[in-house]
Formats: sequence, structure tokens, C-alpha cells
Amino acid sequence: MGKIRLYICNKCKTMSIANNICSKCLDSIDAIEVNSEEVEMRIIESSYSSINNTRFGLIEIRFNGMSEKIMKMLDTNP
Amino acid sequence: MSVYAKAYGLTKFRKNDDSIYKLALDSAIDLIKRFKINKDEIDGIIISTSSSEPYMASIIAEMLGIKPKIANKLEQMCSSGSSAIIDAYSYLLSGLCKNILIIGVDKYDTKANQLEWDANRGDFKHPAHWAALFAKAHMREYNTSEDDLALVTVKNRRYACKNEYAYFNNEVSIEEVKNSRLIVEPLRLYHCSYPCNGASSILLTNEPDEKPVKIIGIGAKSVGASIASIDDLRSITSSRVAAREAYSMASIDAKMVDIAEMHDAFSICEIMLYEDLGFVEKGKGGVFVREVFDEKSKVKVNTRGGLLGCGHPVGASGISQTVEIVMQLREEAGMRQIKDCKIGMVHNMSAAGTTSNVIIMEKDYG
Repeated sequence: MGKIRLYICNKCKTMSIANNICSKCLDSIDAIEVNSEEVEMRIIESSYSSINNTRFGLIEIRFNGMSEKIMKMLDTNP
Repeated sequence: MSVYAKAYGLTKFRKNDDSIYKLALDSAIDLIKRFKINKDEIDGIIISTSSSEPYMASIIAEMLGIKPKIANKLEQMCSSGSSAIIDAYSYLLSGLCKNILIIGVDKYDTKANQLEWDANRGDFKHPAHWAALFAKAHMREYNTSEDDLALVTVKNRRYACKNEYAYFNNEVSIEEVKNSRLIVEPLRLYHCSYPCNGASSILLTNEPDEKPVKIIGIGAKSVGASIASIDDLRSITSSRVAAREAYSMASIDAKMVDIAEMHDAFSICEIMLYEDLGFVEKGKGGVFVREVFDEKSKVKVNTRGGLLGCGHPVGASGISQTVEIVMQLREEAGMRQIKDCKIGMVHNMSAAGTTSNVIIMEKDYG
């Protein structure tokens, strides 16, 4: 699944996919890129999109004790 | 002091090249002429729209020959309309204004049809993606069936046939819904509301007329904006919280509601909202839809045809929903009039249900 771009706050470790401001500390935070193998992923729900012609799912990703939800293409039928 | 609905104006929802100004003016002029409103008494105008046109409220006020104290534009995606009503309510209760004209208007190609900002949605920004995940989770957990989902569409398209302003004026069968084109499994084309042009207007006031319909409860909640804000795919948390607040303010419970407009952007939403708005316990929405379909339930739902039957011009839908409740409570709903309704509810939401507004209105006469 390649690399995942994450924003992780240096102070409180809050994680975000889209927000480059920590919603707890309100400090600016920089993005890091991690290999998808480094993060734990759990499929919450999945489906098939006729719009994108692919399977996809709502995935919970866990990294360094923090979690976030993203929608992502799935490689295989879960 | 209380807030009442005094007048309304409607346009047929359609898909054409009309400008956003023509759409807005058509509904406002319908309101002014239909109810013989003295324009000089309108001291507030709020435009509910996702249009990026600048200074719209003042421009439309000038075109209508109104010189209001307050002229604002409000955008909150699909819940813009109910948000504008809540704003107007506050202006009226504060005494800042006495008569506020709210115009909801949008075009079929608005950018508000999907939330581009939400990076968490990745390549799956079309709203059918989150709705399909809601549906799959609900179907697996509660045995909600494809027929249950289809019944919502069949019911709302049936009601839309009695509404001259609805986009769709033809009925569909369960089989037609189930055989329509797959969009995102399990949702098919007829499970999805249709983006179109439309405008609706309502005049709120703090002085009752001969058929007053009063706002008695308001609840609102925003839990975030991104798909990451959704804590449970089987429930629309913001709607549950907003409904609880609205019932509390109105000193009623769901059992007392006679008629409700629910934000059926997708058929699964209406089934989940039966539960989250308190009409039935969690997981029973798929059973309850049969009672609603047969009109055996006390509450009648989406009698104007819902978003599924009327189409969904983003900024206009919340106003159009509210107008339906006002028409029903004033006994002016014509062929689709529900007998003896006294308490009505409007539920309007945005962006995978991350924001919800609930407004409760009461017939204050007779």
C-alpha cells in the first residue's frame, strides 16, 4: 500500500492525516512519511466502488500508539 | 418572544441553465406575491448557498427592492438551510430583526456536492462512498436488507409524485431500485439523491399571523468535518445529539412528533435516522420502514418526497424541508396533506453526518 503521509505532533503525539496544526496543542506540525508496513491497519468496513472501479475500505491506522481513520483502496478482497 | 414561520416560496427543482440569481429571485418573488408581504417590513435577509458569488445577500436584496438591516450569506454544505434558519431565529429572538427572509439556493454543479478538503477520504470523496460504508455496517449488524433500503426510495418517490415542485414525478418499484445501476455497493443509483438546481424561501417573524407555526425546539451538533470524525458507522452521532437537544428545548419526545423531514441524501440515512432521532430503538430502522411506508406509524416521514424524490440543491434543501413542515402544519400541503398534524420536525445534515441540525415546529392555532 506504499507510503502514508502523517502529521504527528512532537509535543503530544496527536496524529492527523490532513491537519498540519495539532488540534490539541494548536502548534504547527510537520508531515512525516512512513512505510505502510510500519503502521498497523484494521479494516473497519469495506465495499466495492463502481465510481472508482475498485474495492476500498475505511481503515483504522495505528502508529506509535495513536490512531486515525482513512478511506483507502484495498489490494485484496478482505 | 417567539419565532414563527409567516410565509414561504418555492420553485420547481430542475436541471437547467438558470443563473443562481434567477433561481433565488423566483422563490423570493413567489413568497412575496403568494403571501402579499410588505417588502418594507423585511429587515433581514440570509442567503443559504454554497455559491462562491460575492455579496449575494445585498445584491439579491437590491434586486428585490429590500433595504434590510442584516444581509448575510451562509454556507455549511448540505445543512446550510437549517443553519440559516437557526441564525435567523437568533436574530429574531435577540430583537435585532423582526422579519427575516431566508433564501436557500444552489446549482446542480456546486462544489459542495463533495468535500474536497477531506484528505482522509483519499480518492473516495464522492459521498456515496461514506453512505455505502454506513449501509454495509448497518446491514451486517442489524440484518437490514436491500428491500428495506429500496422501500425508502419507493416511498419518497411516491410522495414526490404529489409534489409539483419535486424533480422526480414518477414512481419506482422495489425491483427497479434493486436493478438500477450500481454506484457503491450496496447503493445503487436510486438510493442516491440527485444534485439539481433549486431555490426555496421562508419568512420568519416574531409576530404571529392567523395561522402561526412556532419554532419550539432547536438542536445542533458538529462533531468535526472529516471522515475520521465518525466514531460509529452504524449511527449518526451528531443527529442523535441534536435531536436530544431539540426535544429537551421543546419539552417533547419523539413519540409526539406527527411529521418529520429527514435528510435522506441516501436511502440508508433515513433508516439510520429513524433510530438516531428516537423514533425506534437502535437496529430496528429496517423493520420500522415498513410501518412508515404503509403510513401506519404515527410519524409520517418525508412527505414532500425527501431529497430522494425532490432532488438535492445543496443550500436549498434545508429550507425546502422546513417549508414542507410549515405547509403541513398550516394545512396547505394539498394532495399530500397529513391529517391532524400538530408537531413537525426538520432534520438536516452535512458531510457524512458530521454536522446535524434539528428544528421542531408546532401548530400554534386551532
